[in-house]
Amino acid sequence: MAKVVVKNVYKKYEPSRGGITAVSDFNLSIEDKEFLVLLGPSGCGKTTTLRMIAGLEDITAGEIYIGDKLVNDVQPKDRDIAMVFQNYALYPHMSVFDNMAFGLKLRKTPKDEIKKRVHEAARILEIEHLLDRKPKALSGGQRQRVALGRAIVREPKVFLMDEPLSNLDAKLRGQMRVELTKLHQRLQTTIVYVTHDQVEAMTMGTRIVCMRLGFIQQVDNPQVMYDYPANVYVAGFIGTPQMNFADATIKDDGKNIYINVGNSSIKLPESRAKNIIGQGYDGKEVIMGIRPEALHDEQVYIDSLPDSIVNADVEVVEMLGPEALVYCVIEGNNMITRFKPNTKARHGDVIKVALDTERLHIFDKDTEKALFRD
Amino acid sequence: MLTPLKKQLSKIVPCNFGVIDQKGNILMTSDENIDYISSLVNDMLLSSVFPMETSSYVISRIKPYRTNIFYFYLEKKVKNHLLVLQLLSAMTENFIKSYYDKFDRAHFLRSVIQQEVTESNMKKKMISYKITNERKRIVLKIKTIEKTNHSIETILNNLFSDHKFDYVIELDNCDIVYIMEVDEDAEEIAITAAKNLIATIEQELLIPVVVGIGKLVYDIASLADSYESASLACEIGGIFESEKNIFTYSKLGIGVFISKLNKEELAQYLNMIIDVELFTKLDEEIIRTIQKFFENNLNISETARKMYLHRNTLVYRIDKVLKQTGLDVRNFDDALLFKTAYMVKSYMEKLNDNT
Ligand SMILES: Nc1ncnc2c1ncn2[C@@H]1O[C@H](COP(=O)(O)OP(=O)(O)OP(=O)(O)O)[C@@H](O)[C@H]1O
Ligand SMILES: [Mg+2]
Repeated sequence: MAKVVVKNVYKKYEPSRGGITAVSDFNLSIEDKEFLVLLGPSGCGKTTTLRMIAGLEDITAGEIYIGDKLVNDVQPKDRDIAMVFQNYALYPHMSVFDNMAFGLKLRKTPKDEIKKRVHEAARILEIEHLLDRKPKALSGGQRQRVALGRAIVREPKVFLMDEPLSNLDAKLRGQMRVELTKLHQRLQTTIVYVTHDQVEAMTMGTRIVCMRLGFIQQVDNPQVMYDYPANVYVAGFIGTPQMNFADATIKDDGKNIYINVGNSSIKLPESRAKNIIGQGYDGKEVIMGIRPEALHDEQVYIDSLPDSIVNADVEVVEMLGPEALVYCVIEGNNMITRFKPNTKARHGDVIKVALDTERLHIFDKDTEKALFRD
Repeated sequence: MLTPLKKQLSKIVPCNFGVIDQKGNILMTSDENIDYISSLVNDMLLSSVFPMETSSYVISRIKPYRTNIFYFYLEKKVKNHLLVLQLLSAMTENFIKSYYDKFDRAHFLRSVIQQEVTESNMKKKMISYKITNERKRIVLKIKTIEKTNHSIETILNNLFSDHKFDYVIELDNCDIVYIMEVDEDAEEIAITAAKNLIATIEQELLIPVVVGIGKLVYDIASLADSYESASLACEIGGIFESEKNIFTYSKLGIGVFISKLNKEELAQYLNMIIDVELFTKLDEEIIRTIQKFFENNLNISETARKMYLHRNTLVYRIDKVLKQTGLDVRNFDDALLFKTAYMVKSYMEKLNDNT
């Protein structure tokens, strides 16, 4: 249980090691008991950041605090952390109990203490009934829990996890996501969790740090990050299917703000327009973004959103059961919409689509930053 | 060393028992209260006839191995205690024997790897240890920056305890090596083992680890060779692929040749294949991108997906490399040149670091 503070941290690998700046000016205060997710594509510096917090990798500049202690010069084993990786292996000839106890024995923890901690961890992981079993007699999910148990018995202040679920099949991964969330609630400890999978990040994180090329792009709780992405990169990275983007121009007539896309003109509602009006955006080129579920083909929306109707050429309709994904072209831009499954849209149709302008995103064309955030 | 045996016996023997060595050290005992043992030891050392009996104990002598003698004692609280004693002594003898055999074999293999065994000696020992040349083996070298007081050996021995013919050995130079017997897919198996052992050591001990995987060898004498290739893999792999933690000898490729060149030769070679000034001007974003592009086997879609880049952005960057260096890394030959140049440059930097 502890706060983790990362202050102005840089990691530049030596020129002979490729010379890449893997992490740049990283500033983050991770609250006690938080489930913080580091999210981003391959090579964005997630693992490097995590290993620097662990002390397994030197930092080039900056400071790292765990609890209130500056740990820059503290050995990993003295940082009060535990790691969980994608790969793990259990000791085949040892019982589940001994598998979890082994690390403690290596560190000469007293027997009674070991017993207490292993039983406590087993209780939390709901594997008490398996303590006498050998790994061979366990299912994949149970083994994964034993591996987690090894970290839990250390009773660390912070858990550092690097894509622990990425080797599992889709079904087990789904189960373990739920398990990890429960585990976090029971442990009441700080967890820093690395993943490139935005679904994992959205479902498990209390906050998400979205990274790109070693830089933090945005830090927010999952819903805020989804609803108010700070830039085009985050907007596109979070959410499947992706947010739709289109080049557009702003028109400010002094009273209202219009977004012009192709031949269509969409009037922004009061709530969104008020931040832009009279700010000199008239004529400015922007990137408009809209999520698939913010596009509607139902008559009620067409009627209630008269200021934001566009035509869509339907190309493909994918019926998914609870919803239909409709691939279409709107004002020359390929877009995906998420309609109700009873949609009448079919390949070749030209349909009317209403944009939910309360959920429209506008990004500066040059900086790619969001123009307004509530 | 006798803990597993004790665990086993405790389940079946309903009274006190234990093993004592010649000097009276207690090697194993079922009973934490050991006050009575010293008198037992006195009786035992005076006796020349075994099994011997005291008022409440029977004792047998076991000689599992060369000159070492051990004593097994059993409380006379079971029926047919003499028969039980004999059975238990036999079990213990076998246990100790196999323990020492494994220990001795490891000792022998250690000398083989350090090239301290003569050919004739090797043959003799192999026969006496029943080690054959008929199996394929591969040596893994485990490198850490810290001394760990045998913790790593303990971890490895337990992690691979189901691999009966594998050995974990610490060499005089503190390197830890893991000799693996392998069948098909030797390298894949070695890589999996390496991944698992790295994760386990890093998780249990919180120290960074790298592993070198040596070449596959077909006889015992070549283990030294496999070890040397594993060391080379660590050394050269560490220069050219520093972001990895597993280095395989057979995948070192041109790195082996590059690392044999001296500074002048390197500079000459670099100048021959590329305009050094232009090459040095490539920015980090480009270098990163091309690295990932190579990692993904020159597959544009896959690289774009993994890096979360638009395909066109990736193509644009590749074109930029073409414009700046004349190399089109989409083509195998140019990719090879780019990679070589990059490796030569890294190695030159490395040499500069060291001076
Ligand atoms: N030990 C190292 N030596 C040199 N460069 C490294 C090393 N480790 C990582 N890098 C480089 O630093 C950058 C960030 O790597 P990192 O492993 O932190 O990314 P990641 O976000 O964890 O990616 P992935 O999703 O692929 O695991 C990459 O460009 C990588 O090539
Ligand atoms: Mg990573």
